[in-house]
Amino acid sequence: VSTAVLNGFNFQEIQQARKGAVSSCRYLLLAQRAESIANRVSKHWDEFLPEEREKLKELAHDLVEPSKDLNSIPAWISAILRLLILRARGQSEAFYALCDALDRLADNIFDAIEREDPAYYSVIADTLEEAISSPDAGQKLEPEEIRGWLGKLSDRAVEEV
Amino acid sequence: VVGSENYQIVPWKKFEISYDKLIKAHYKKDKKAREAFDDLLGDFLKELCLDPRPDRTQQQPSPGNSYAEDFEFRKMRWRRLPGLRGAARFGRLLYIVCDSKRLIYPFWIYTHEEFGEPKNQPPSKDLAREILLIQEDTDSKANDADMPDVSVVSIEGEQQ
Repeated sequence: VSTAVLNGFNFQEIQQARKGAVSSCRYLLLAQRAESIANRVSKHWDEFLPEEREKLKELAHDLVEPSKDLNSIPAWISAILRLLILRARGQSEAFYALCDALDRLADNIFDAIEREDPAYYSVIADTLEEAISSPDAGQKLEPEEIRGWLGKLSDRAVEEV
Repeated sequence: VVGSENYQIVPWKKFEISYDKLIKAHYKKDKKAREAFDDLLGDFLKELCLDPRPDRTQQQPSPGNSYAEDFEFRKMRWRRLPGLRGAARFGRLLYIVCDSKRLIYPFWIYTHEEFGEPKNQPPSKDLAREILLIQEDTDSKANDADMPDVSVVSIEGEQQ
């Protein structure tokens, strides 16, 4: 079904695109491909071949890997300049569309990784048992109490470190 | 009358422990980001009180159990948790909706980073260890908490 899923969609080109080194048309084309793969991952993950799934997992991790290029002030200046150039060329909208599509693709792949994990459903099954046996257990919070409750939990966690 | 009432949040110990773990792992040094995260989650839980099934959440398959009809599992995914980078910025909240009692049970919050790198670590082992740790913590705190008893969990053939 999906043997050619990553054809025409290589990481080097994506990296080049992120650096502002491709044309507007190419941004939009890559964004469309990313969207298309993201949808297939979301709906048909089971239909991908095992080696394709592995490639997609690697791709997702590569996509979200924090850029080491941005660890210095000159690198930041360079990135800002690239964004300004994209804007001047009228490519910024296409660029952001690609960034969003790639982010959605990584998110869908991560979700698929989580869902295919047998332990994920162990947690759900265990929690269901808990809910059935004691549905009324636990204090009930009104909406206005929620933020205070989270703040207390959060402060307590930090104090314990 | 029932239809006009808001849902209420029931915070289980299981959720609190996973929340505690997330804060310690990612927000112990950055107070501003931590507060932004608390706000993000708080606003979302408040939203659930009005609408427990927002469009951006997804229903999760339930285990095949006839008693499960009244309990719907849902998942919320964030792509940019405040102040986090890499796989850690992808946050997830799992919760149950019980319409007959108009209750919402958040039970697990985590980031994708907890699942480990695919190249060097089998994800299910990492997740299984994570869940066992949560389960052990829950068991040890169950006596002094206002919560239901924790049942036996079985992960990949292991019995706790």
